Amino acid sequence: MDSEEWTIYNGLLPAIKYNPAAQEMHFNAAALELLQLKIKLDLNPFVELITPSLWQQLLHLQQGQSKLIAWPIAAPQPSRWLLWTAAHTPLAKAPLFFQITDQTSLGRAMNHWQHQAQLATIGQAMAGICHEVNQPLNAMRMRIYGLQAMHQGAGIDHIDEHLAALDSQVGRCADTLSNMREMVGHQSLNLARFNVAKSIERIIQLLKHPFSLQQVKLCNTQISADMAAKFWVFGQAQRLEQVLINLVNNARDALEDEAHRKAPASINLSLNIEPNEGIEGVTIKVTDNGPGIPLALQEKVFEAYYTSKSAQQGTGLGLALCRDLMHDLGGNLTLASKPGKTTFSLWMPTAAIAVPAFPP
Amino acid sequence: MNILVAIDKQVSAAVIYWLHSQGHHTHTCSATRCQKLVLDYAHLEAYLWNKQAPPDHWPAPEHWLLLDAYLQPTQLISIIHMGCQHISLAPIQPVHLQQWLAGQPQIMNPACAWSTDYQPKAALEPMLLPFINCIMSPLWSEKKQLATVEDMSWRNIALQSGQYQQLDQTLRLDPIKFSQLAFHTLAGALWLAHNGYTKAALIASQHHEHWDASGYPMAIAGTQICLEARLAKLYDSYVGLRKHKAYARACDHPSSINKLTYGDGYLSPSQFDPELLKRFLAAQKDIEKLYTLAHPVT
Repeated sequence: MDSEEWTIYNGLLPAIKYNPAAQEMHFNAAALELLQLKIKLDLNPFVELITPSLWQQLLHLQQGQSKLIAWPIAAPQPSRWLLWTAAHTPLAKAPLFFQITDQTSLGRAMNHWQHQAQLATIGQAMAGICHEVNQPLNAMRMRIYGLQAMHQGAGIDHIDEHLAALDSQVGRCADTLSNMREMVGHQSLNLARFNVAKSIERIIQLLKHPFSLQQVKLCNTQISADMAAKFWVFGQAQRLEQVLINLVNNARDALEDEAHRKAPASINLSLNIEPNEGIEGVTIKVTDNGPGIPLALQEKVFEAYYTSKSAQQGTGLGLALCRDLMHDLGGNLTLASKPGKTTFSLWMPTAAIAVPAFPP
Repeated sequence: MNILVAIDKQVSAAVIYWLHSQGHHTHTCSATRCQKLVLDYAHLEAYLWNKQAPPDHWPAPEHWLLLDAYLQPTQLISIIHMGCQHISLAPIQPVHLQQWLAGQPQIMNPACAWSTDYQPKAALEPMLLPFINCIMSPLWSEKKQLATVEDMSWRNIALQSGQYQQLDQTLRLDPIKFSQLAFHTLAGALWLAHNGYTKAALIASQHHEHWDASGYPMAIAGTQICLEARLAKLYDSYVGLRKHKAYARACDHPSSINKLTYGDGYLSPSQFDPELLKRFLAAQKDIEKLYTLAHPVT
C-alpha cells in the first residue's frame, strides 16, 4: 500500500476493518456505538445481523462510494440512518475498510422523498385504475339497459351469452382491483419472491390507456408462458413497479417533444435472462424512440436534484431514487441512449440463485 | 335511426345491444351518413382544439354522445369546446342517453348569452390596484398598473351570463358540470376578443391556469401563462381564501398565508409563479392592511 492510500485511510479513520484472508472483523469504539452493539461480533453473526444481501452490496462499493442504511436493519421505524463509506478496492485480497457516520437527518429526508415518490406513483396509476374499472362498469350498465328494454319488448335471446359477457366484465373489474392492491396496497417491508413478467403486465394494464390518450404506445415484447415462468426475483414487487412507472413516465415526457419524432411515439418493455458478473439475473429494458439523452448528461441524470424538466415538472429525485431502489433490490440501473433510441436497463439477480454471503 | 358507433371494442358490443333494444340500426366501420354518433375520447382526440376537421360522414357535434370511463376536466373542456352537447361518464346515466336520443341538449350552450340591451360590466375590485401596486412596484409604472387592472377586471365576464350563474350556485359540481363552469374562461375570452379587448381576452382564458400545469382550460405551465394571468391567479387565491364561501369558512390573514406557502391539499404553492409568490410574501403586511381597509368588519 503506497503512502497516498495510507493517507486516505488515516483520514477516514476506518470504523470497521475486514480481512478476507483471515475472515476477521475489527470494530473501533465509535463503530460499536453507532451500530448499538454491546459486544464485538465475529464475521458470521455480523453478516446475519446486517443480512447477506446488504453485506454483498457493501463489499461491492467502490473506493469512496457510500451507502445509506436504515438502522436497525429489520425495524419498521428505523431510529437512525448510517452512511457507510468504502475505503478499499472491492473484493481485493487486501483488507476492507468502512467509515460509518450518523446521517439520520439525510436518511429521514430520503425516506420522506421515497414516500412522496410512492404517493406520486399511486397518483399516476389512479387515472389508469379509474379507467380500467369504469370501462367494464359502463359495458355492464349498457348491457343491463339493453336487457331491460328487450325484457319489456321483444324478449331476450341467448341469455347465456349476455350473462357470460356480464360475468367477464365483473372479472375484469376484480382483476384490476387485485392488481392495484398488489401494486400499492402492501406498504410493509416484507420481501418475497415475485415474477417480474407479472409486474410488467400490471404496469401495461394500468398505464396503456392514459398513455394512448397522449398518443404514446406502451407495449411489451410478448414472451411465451414457459419463458415467463423464469423471471422470478426476490425483493419487493412494489419497489420495482415504482421504478418502472417512473421510467415509463420519464420516457413519455421525453416523447412529448414532437419536433424530434419521426415514428409514432412508443415505449417498449422487454424481459431477458442475462448474467451479470457471473450471477444469473433478469434484465428489464425500457426503450423509447424519443430524442435521446446527450452523452454528457447520461451519468448526470442519475444525480439527485438534477432534472432536464422545467421546475414545475420535476424534482430531479426520480432517477436517483430509482437507482437507489434498484441497489436495495440487489440490482442495478444503467442507461444507453442515442437519438431515436433510449434504453434504461434494470438488472436483478434471479431468485433461484442463492446470494453468497461471503466474497469468493 | 342509423347510428355510427366509434368506441372501444370492450364497450361497443354492449352499446350496440342497447341501441338495437331501442330499435336503432348501428354501423361501426362504415362511411355511411348516420343521424347520430356514439364515440369515446380516444376516437375524438385527433380532432380536438381544431387540430383537424372531423370526418365528413360524421353528423354535426350536437348529435354526438361521448361515452367514456373517466376523463380529466381539461379533456372534458376540450370536448365542450368541440361543440359536443352530450357527455356521459361512468356510471352512465340513463337520463343522458334519453336526452341524446330525444335531441335535447344535456350540455348548456357555453357561449356568453345576454340580451342585446344588457351591457356586460368589468368587475369592481377596490383592492386589485393596491394589490398590484404592492407586488409590481417599482417594476411597473402606475400607468401600466392601471392598464393591467382594467384588463384583469374582465376576466370573469362570462359568469354574468345566466347559464353560468345557475351552475355557480351549485354547492358541489360533478366533473361534467365543473367542466362547463370552467369553460367560462374560454367563453369570456371569445366574447372579449370579438369585442376588441385582446389583452383582457388572454387574461380571461388563462386566469385559472397554474404554474405547475395543474390548472385549466389548457393545462399550460410556467411562462406559457401571461404574467397578468399569473398575477390574477395569486390575487384570486388570496381573496378567495379570505372570503366566506358556501363550502369553506373565511381564513384570517396568517392562515391564508400559511395555505399559500405550504398548501392545504387543494391549493399548492407550486401553482403560483415563484417570483410573484416571493414578492407577495415580502409585501404581505401591507396586503393584510389593504384587505382590512377594503373589507371593514361591520
